[in-house]
Amino acid sequence: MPSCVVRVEGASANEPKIRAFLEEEYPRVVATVALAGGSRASAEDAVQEALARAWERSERGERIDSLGAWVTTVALNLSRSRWRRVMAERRARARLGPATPQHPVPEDALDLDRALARLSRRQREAVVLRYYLGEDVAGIARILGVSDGTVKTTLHRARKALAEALDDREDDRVGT
Amino acid sequence: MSGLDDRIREGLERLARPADGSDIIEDVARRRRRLRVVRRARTATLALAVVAGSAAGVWGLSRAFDFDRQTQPGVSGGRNGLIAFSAKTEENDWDILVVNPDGSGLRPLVAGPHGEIHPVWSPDGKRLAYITQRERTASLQIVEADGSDRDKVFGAPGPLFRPAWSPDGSRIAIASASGQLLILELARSTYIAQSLGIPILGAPAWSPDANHLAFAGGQEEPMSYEEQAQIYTWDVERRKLMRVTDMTGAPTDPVWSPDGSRIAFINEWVGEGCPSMASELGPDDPFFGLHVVDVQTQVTTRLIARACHGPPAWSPDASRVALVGGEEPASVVIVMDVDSPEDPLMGIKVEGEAPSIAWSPDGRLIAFSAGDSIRVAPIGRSASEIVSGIGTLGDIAWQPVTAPVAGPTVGAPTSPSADPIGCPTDGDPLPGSYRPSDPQIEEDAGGLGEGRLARPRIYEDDARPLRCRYLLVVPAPDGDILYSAVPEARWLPGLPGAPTVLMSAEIDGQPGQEVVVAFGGPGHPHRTGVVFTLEGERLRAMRVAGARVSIYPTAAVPLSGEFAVGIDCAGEPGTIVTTSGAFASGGDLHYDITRTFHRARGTVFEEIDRETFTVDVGTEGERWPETADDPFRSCPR
Repeated sequence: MPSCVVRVEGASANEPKIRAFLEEEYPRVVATVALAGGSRASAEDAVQEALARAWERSERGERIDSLGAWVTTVALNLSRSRWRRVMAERRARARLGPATPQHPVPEDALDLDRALARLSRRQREAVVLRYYLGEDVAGIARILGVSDGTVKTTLHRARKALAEALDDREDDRVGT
Repeated sequence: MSGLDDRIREGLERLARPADGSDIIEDVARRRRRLRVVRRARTATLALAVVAGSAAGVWGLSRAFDFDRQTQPGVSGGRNGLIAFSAKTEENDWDILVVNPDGSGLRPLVAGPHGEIHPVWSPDGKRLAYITQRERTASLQIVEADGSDRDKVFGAPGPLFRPAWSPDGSRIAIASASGQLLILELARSTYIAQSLGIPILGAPAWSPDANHLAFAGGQEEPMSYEEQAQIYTWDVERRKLMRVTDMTGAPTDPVWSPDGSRIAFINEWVGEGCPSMASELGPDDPFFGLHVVDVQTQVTTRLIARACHGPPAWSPDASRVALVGGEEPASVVIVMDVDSPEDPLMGIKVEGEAPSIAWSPDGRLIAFSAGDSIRVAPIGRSASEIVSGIGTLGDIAWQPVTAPVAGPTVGAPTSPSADPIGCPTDGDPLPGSYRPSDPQIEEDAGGLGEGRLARPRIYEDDARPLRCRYLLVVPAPDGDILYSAVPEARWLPGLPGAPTVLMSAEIDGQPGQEVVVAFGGPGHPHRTGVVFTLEGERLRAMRVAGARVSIYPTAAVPLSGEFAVGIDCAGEPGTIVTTSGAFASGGDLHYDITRTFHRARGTVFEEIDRETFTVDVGTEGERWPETADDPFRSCPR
């Protein structure tokens, strides 16, 4: 793999924000996108692409109020593109070598992993945004582009499905 | 918080593998630079480079299958822009959704716990104003076209009528059900309440010069024919009110003609039935129908007696008007030339009453609600459904584009340019206007007529003309759609569900160059392709038969099912590679992938290679076999 020295052009006004995002939010946003569907490689690709777009838009004068929410939204959209995921996989393999070892699923999370796989894409996204990224209903609605009511219904159904899959007899309540 | 919630949370923490962002700023910066190149090239090149054995052409864009507009939230559509509409579902209150004119990309733009209604695009198409209606209060909100930056601009203690943008987009006029007219200055976030002295009965309308507002005013619930509303104009600068009509009936929904000389309005029959009451009253009865009043002379002319519901929708060039007539329980969407109303261009029966109508910004299509569906129809042709089953539908609004394209004229060619490669010195707009029904489609070897290379004047958002742009104008296989080639391989707006076009090259005007174009898409799974050869400014088209090309827009990839992507072989002209697959969910999840390579030889697409393989889909993503080579590789010889 050839090594390239890449010179970042000048210092843009928005670079501190981008750096701050990379330091503070990027790790969990990538994990969120990966948990919602897709591999780590495709999630990283989607989040980096979304961040680059946000950066470019900001430099052009467009306002993005919440960089984290914007990047999460766009990255989730990008990650839903199946072809894009395929290409990301291939680029990742090209970068890392012929065989990329798959990350083993922790044994104590196997049940949840299987249960998540049985949810629809939308349900999985809502669950991950809620329980991993800690978004509230309104925040999830903004990111997914749906109404609050749809989020509540989605979470309700997802939680019910997870409870059945995990053989859990908890109260049927969406956490607040 | 319940035990289940804790279990989910803790489990996700264990499953998650947070990434390390400390070392990737340069990767992101590199992507940003690439985006800028793509963006400059995309706006700079609405053309194809025709490449033959002579020149290599520019491949950077044509080989990239563009995902930008398919994956970013709320990105606007093609020349005609998105169609925004309000819809009420069983689950939610009114929300505002958007959809591309071909029915793809349906998604919510504004959704919330209250009723979001009356979407109206700003004149530049970059923002949408709408009303959020709560139980007792309402507010005017503005949102960016991509759904971001929602701003509450104004609140009122009661319902608000549909807002009206001033022609320059700097102001919004809005009327409340309590009869107040307000003009909001957006830049200064201020508003001025206009004291008119009469109650306002509906949405106001700006004159094209923004000096006047027209509205229906008067008694809200007339008790008799004598106590009726009239059409008024309000001089915004001089604060002067003028009554324009003096009619018996209930004039409503005034709409200015785009040249500002006339106001059209519906004079509604206040009784029941439509148009049976007209037949009872007689055809000359002045009460009823679509009227046009000359603003200067105030002479009112009735155009058609069958109209029942408003508001009338003027075409962008003011030559035509669309309105709703018909007999209950169905309505009829009628389109007519203003100068020959007795001979309507089309009449489409729709279920339900009072559909909302919107013209496409290019004036060639109308969109209208019909029951629980939205349909789009080219003028004079049948309508196709693009949205259905969402719920009750409200207002429709078609996003105007900010970069008008001086469309090419198909017909007699202009004289060949002396310098097909160089840029014209002073823009080169083509004469005439673009009429998709005009071209002579010849039944040659494939039913495809000759294409044409055109150099229109194209404007960027800031209205600076761009030069040196070439468009490839291609009569489509269906004979209805002319295709303007862009690197992303998009159709011009035409019939809904128009197929995707894939091209193998970009045009730079070199004589003798070729471009291979393949057509495909939903409902056209195995279209054939065309080879175009540039001769002067005309393109000689040869239909390529026998291509087994399956092209499917990735924007519409369903959760499960078949998908396909087409590209070229490492940028080689005259080649097309398609990767198609089916997602199989029975048993182990996997894709069955077929990759097919074609090269155009003469008039035939020959399949030169094919490979099939399986991609396993696990919870950690897809695992492609090592033997599946990069689809961008060179084609076999």
